Amino acid sequence: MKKVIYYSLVLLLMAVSLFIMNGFHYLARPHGAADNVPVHITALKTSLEQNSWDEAEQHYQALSTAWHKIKPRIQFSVEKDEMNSIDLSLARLGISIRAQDQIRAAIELSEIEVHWKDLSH
Amino acid sequence: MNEALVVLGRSLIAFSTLLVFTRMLGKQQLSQLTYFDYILGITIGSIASSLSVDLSSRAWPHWVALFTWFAIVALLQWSSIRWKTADRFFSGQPVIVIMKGKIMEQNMKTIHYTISDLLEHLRNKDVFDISKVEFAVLETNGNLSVLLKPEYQPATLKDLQIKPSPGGISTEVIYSGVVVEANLHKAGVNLQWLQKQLQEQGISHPEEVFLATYNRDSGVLSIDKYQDK
Repeated sequence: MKKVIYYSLVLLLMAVSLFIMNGFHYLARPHGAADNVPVHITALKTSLEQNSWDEAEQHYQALSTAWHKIKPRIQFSVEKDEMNSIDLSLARLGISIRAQDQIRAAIELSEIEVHWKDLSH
Repeated sequence: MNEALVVLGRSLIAFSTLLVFTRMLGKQQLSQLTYFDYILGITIGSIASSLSVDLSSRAWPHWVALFTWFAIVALLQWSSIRWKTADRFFSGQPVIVIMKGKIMEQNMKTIHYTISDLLEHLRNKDVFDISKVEFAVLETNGNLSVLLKPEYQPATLKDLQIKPSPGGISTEVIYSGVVVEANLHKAGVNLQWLQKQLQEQGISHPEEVFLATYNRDSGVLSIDKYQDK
């Protein structure tokens, strides 16, 4: 019996460790619209293409909120540098939208998209 | 991102992984490690520390590296146990450095073992005169095994024809002021007996005792109190 408990504990410990290290896809799964990063990226892309700056600002705020909600959940499974890169791109994206610089905003948004995809690899 | 929290989480993963892996690798003592085992240990430790604090990369690749090194070491251990040739290849072979009182210079040269190393190892074995040595073998873990010439070997009780008194192993019956009742039963005595023994030595309570051991074979109860006079 003691042996069973011992081995179960070891297996549980290993399983929890493996989940924490590889659980990005599960942990980044949105619980609602408020933390759905890919949806807000797509919506923001459409707004930028249509030069709809008020809408872009709203989607930017939603994207920023979603990202900050996801961050604590995925921080154990991803690279810190990738997360820092998203933070920086997000800050630059905000300024570009306020300055209504479509090209710059599109660059920053596509960078965020690439970093988001990199997080899962 | 709370860096300290992430480091804490990753450190717990590294610690538990190392604990499990090292337990699985067995109970080889540090003194029994070969030079190669030692290097493997350092490498595994270094990977574990990267897993713990290197936040510029994900924890998973570090964990995979840790697992790979553990698997290699386990494979080496397994093959060394199964095949003598593999054991000889991975761990090396003991080398005779003194044979019949003569220093084997060629053997020493092959393993880069200097005369100072030999003299130092002999001194560690309480041998200060090399002429007393019949055989000396450098083991794979770096220890020197020494066989003295018959005339310098210490006399045993058998040589002196003295009948040895029973030795036996003593067990702890009081540990940090607490009576270990399980050991009392194993030693074939009881609490009343212990209390009587303590009273005879002027101790009113087991809490005054730091360590008390009892040797069943010799019947000796050894007591060390917290207050040493």
